[in-house]
Amino acid sequence: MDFQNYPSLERLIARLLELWPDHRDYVEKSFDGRTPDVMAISDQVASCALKLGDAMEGGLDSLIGDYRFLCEKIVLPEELHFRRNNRYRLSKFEDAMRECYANAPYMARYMNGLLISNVVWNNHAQAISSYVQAYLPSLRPNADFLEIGPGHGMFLYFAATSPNVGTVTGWDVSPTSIEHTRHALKILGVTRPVTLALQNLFEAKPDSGTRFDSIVMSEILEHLEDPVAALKAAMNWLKPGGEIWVNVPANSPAPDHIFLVNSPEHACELVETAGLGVAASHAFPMTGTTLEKARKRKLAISCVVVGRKAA
Amino acid sequence: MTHDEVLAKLTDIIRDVFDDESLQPTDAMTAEDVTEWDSTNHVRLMVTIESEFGIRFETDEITAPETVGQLIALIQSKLGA
Repeated sequence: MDFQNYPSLERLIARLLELWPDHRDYVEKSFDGRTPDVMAISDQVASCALKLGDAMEGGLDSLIGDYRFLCEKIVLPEELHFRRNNRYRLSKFEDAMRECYANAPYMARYMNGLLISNVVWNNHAQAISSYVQAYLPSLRPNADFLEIGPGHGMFLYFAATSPNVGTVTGWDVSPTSIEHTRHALKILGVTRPVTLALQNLFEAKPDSGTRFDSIVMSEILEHLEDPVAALKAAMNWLKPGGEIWVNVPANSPAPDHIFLVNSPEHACELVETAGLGVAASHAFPMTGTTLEKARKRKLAISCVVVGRKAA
Repeated sequence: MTHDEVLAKLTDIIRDVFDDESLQPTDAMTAEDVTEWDSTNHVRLMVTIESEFGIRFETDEITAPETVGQLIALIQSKLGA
């Protein structure tokens, strides 16, 4: 692996492999074949992860520890259940709430682990690269942008630094998450005003505020019992011709994944069922496999779908 | 089942899971010897073994075997051999 031109990747991956040397094969597979464009975005994501890690208790080592916890203790048992039963372990939001969202220390480790996965897992890296390099530049000038569930603020960060984007807004149902995102954006050095609001998508009244040119729902739908209802609710907030950028994993067991998307086609179908046209779609298989094998073996695929509202 | 009987059946399973008829598992084989033998495909392998042999692994047994030989011994222990 040559990270000579990618200083943030150099630092993050070097430390990861010092702490977890057995992960080398996986990391090498993950970075093998990433184009320079994707590597450039991965380096930016790594830079964000390093800034956030350096600002937290325990620093980068703690972040890496949480990534390993994600891989070995969070994902593996869920993968086992999925393979045995052909379905996710949980199907009710209330169960995910009880087991995950209400457990703050567990959620902190889980979210930290996912932050590193955005660098290390090839399907995550490819999806983010697609968002930054293909989607954001396609937006109309001064686009009004909204993200549902911004989490670590990664997608808001890239939107806020995009020349096409005008206003930047993030909605979340959790006050803790809102403050977490606000803090993250400050650490990441975002100076453009970002409106962060405690807002439940299903309770938002469309005639009470600005509609958006672009709404991002990244790794949201698989956490909901009725993703089509969420897409329909989001569509109410789109301007005519506006787009929803969806990133949803297929066949990706996790403790709070309750809706099983089983293929890229299924992801498109959800968007179309909500009444949106599919303007673009991409499928990024998990590290170390091809799309064909991922389909055949029901391995994880990050499914990106751009749904467009009629003009 | 004897060691060789388990190995024969396991060979078919490994070839099927990894889509590679050229694989010749031996006691010394490890995940590093098979390109696609990563953690996710390891779980697929173990679940397929459960189904084909009619056994069930404990969660900590899923990642315990480091070689095919150790895996065969585990399978035999589950079969009560």
